[in-house]
Amino acid sequence: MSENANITADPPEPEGFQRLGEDDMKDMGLDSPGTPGGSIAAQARAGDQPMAEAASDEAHGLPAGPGIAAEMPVEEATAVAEETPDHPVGETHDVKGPCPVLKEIDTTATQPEKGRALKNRREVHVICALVLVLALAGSAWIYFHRPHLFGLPHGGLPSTAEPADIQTPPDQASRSAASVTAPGMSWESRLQKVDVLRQVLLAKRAEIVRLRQSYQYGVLELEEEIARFIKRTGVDGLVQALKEKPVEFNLDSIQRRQAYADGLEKPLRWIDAAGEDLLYLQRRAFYDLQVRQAASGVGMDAHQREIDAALRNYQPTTANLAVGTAAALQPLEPMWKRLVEKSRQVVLTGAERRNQDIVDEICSGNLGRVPELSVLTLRSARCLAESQAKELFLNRLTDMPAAAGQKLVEWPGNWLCLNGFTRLAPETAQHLFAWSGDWISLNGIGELTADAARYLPAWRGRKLELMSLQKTNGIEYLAQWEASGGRLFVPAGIRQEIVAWRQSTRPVTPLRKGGA
Amino acid sequence: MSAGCAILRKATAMAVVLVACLFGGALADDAGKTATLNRALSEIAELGRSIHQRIEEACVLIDNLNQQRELLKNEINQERGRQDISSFRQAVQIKRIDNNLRLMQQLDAYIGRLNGSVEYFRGANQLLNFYARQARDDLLMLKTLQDADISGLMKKIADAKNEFEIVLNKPLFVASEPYPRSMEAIWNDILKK
Repeated sequence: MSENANITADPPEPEGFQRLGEDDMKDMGLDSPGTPGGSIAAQARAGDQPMAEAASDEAHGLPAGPGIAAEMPVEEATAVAEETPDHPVGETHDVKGPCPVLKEIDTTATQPEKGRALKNRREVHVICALVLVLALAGSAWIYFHRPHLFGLPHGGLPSTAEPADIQTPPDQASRSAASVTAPGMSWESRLQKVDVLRQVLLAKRAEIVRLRQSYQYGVLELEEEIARFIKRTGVDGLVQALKEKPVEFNLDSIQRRQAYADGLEKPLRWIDAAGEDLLYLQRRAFYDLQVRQAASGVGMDAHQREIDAALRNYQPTTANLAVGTAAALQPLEPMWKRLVEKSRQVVLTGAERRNQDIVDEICSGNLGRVPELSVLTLRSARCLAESQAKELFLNRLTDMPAAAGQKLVEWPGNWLCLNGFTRLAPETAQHLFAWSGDWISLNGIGELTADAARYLPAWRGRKLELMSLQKTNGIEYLAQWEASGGRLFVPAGIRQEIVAWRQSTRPVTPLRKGGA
Repeated sequence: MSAGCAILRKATAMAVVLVACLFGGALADDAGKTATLNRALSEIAELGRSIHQRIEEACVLIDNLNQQRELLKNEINQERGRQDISSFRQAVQIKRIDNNLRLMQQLDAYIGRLNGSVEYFRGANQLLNFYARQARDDLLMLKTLQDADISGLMKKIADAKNEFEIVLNKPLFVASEPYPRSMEAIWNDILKK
């Protein structure tokens, strides 16, 4: 059998443990369990303790019970001494203490069955105790050395155990010279550690990416605020704008957040490189593990050294994940020019002031005026996404910027009402149908394009309302989503289209084929 | 008469004994050759089984390594598509592609050497089959004509057996030798397909 096979093969039964149990039984002179024709006591001796006690009690006409069993030796000895026929009655009466009586039983053996039974009972107790101890020891051994038998992952030794520790016990080391399982297990454990470390690094990477996205969103949010400020006030000179404290702070925050986001590039690069290195080392060693039985010159020692070094060096420590501090702050002038340019695209509604107040309220936790919100800014989208509300009625909104939509769908609520939308842009649909909630109302939409509808089949929500829908070239997407378990609320005309589409796509049976 | 006859009888008896000895020796010699050839045939069969087993072992490894090579190649192609890479210089700047090319270099070397081993053992089996055929022919010759010169064949079989047994006891290939294909050649192959 190849070593590779041994890596994945189930570990052998703990031989030592099995042998101990059998040897113990033999050493103690026990019969095999359930010998035909054997006495109940003999069978019980070889079996379980309660049965032995019950059988012994039965033989001596005593009630079974743990208390009785504990007192048995003394009572039994006295009774035997009194009934011994080899000794004159007078002699027995001359005896002053219990010791000679007990001694007599040992030497005379006039009641061999009873004496043996007594001895056997002690043996049974000792054996049971030993078996219990061995069973506990065996369980502990299996738990730590064969954790998969308990449903734990292979090689799931305590994380503090180094691969070297696994081989260090002297008896194991001497045995491992002949066994191919031990080094195989060690490699399995090592490669698994590489896997685990890669997963940890990937998880950390995702965490950092989320953090960077959060900074980037924060930058966009502040940029939007400044662009709105420029649009609202007409202030487009930097010097003049910097006199406004909120603008100055916002610009400062943009610079800082941008620097933070840039600084995260360093740990991300480190994680990427570490992950790639670990994967490379793991694969290289794995290929050699496969061929090492069939090839000479396979340097598993070198692999081991390199992997062990990588496992040490690629730990996600604070030092390794240090943020790059060299990132320079963005100069203000070009940033300001860009914001002035951006402000030209901003459309201010008449209710801008009121909208701004509502956003302030939402961001301070008051959701009472959410239905009055007419523009979804990046800030309002973030505050709504962070809210604990279960239902959001945003029926005054007629559209939402892609970035705001992306943020809003992070909201973990159930029902999103967007009945003010008259059309659904494909990028908005893409974000909306990635939302984890159950119910979306889009009852203001009259036409749904296939470009927007094609994102629907992937949505895991349960209800979609499109009660104003009159026209769509994406009927198949609606039908597909409904077929996958969604409930679609549409006008009768659209319903008929869906039914017709279903019928047209129904597989042709031989009968229908013949009829046609 | 008595002396002459006695001498004649003695001479005749001696001649009979001599002829019997010679004939018996020849018979014994033929029986020995047959046994030798039969033994050689069974040894060839045994050796053939060992070689076949070795070929199987190598083929399983080759299949596994090829699968892993394919996985690496697919990953490279995915990266290529994602990053729009066309030149080798650009490619090795991407860590995953660089690493995968290195691993493919390793796998190519192993696969090549294993293929070499398989070829060698297939050749060995062909040679053994060739000798076995000759041994069976010689056996027929012995059966029919009670004579065949098998010494040459036996020497060839012994030489082949020695050589193959030595090779069978060695690993299938040497992993530590340098890799014959350059990363660039592997990259170019990937581009071609």
